[in-house]
Amino acid sequence: MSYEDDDDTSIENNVVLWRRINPIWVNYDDNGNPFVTSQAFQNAKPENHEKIMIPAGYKHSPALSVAFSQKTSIDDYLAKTPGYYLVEFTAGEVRGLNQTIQETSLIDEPAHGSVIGNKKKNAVKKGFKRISRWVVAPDSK
Amino acid sequence: MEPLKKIENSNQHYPSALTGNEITQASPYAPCTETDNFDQPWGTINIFAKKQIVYRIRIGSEVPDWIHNVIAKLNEFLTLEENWDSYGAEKIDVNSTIFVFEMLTELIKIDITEPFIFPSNDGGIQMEWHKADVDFEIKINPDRNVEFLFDDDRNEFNSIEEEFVFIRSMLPTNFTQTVENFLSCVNNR
Repeated sequence: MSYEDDDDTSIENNVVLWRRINPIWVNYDDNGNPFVTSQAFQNAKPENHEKIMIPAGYKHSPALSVAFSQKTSIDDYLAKTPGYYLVEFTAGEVRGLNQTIQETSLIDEPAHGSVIGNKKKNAVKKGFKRISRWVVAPDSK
Repeated sequence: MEPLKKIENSNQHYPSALTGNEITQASPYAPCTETDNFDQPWGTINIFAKKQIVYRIRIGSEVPDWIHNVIAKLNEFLTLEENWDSYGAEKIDVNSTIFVFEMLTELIKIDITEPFIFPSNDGGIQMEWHKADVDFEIKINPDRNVEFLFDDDRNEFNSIEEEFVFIRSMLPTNFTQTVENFLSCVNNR
């Protein structure tokens, strides 16, 4: 299957993207500060991608799901996942990690977007942790 | 460190609906069974899943206390339902928990410290250490494939990102060398 992973250049670099964080992905460093595992920033499983994104008409490869912050609210985005945290990064920052971005609106998640690209490499893994800023943060210890 | 006590009649620790034979059938490729041969006295710890899986893991009679934290985490992971990350994640595969435990029983022998441990959206599990300006991650997949990376912010050791198929007691040299490099950083910085 050939994917269409081109970057949507109409999405400006200062656009803010959100990613929900299950608390199970959070732990604390030696200074008591919360950190998120790199596993929180991995692409969807291919099977799941084919079940949801392909029927919706999208042709990109399995990707990291995010939300366009200007199209939703914190309360709406976290409504179905009480207790989850929220991080943000900009479109420009993820492009700096050799990722592309597409708007991939879904019926039950109109603000949905996809960050596409290899996320197995160390530079990308560490990159997502570096660029992520807490929007809804766990308490420090 | 208090040695674990050997459990003489392990079946008493299984839910009544399960027996050792059923467990073996449920995980036919898992190597940690009562027929395993170990060269030292072994204690036994049970890993419980929420529903159908009960698995008995044998570990060394001398184990660090933090192993119980790992067991608690593994049990927690096994209770995660599909879509636990809200983005379509798979349930955590019981084989991943077993392989994590097997890997740790090897690493404990060389005094590895307690890992951070996280579930992955593909049913795998990742162990992480972030100490002494080093990031060390080991991702274990249900099919025994292991991905690991080591990154030293001080550049005293070369960074490495590799994969291998996990076979107990046959860890590849580049992996064991990486573990030793990590421990050297932790112990000497």
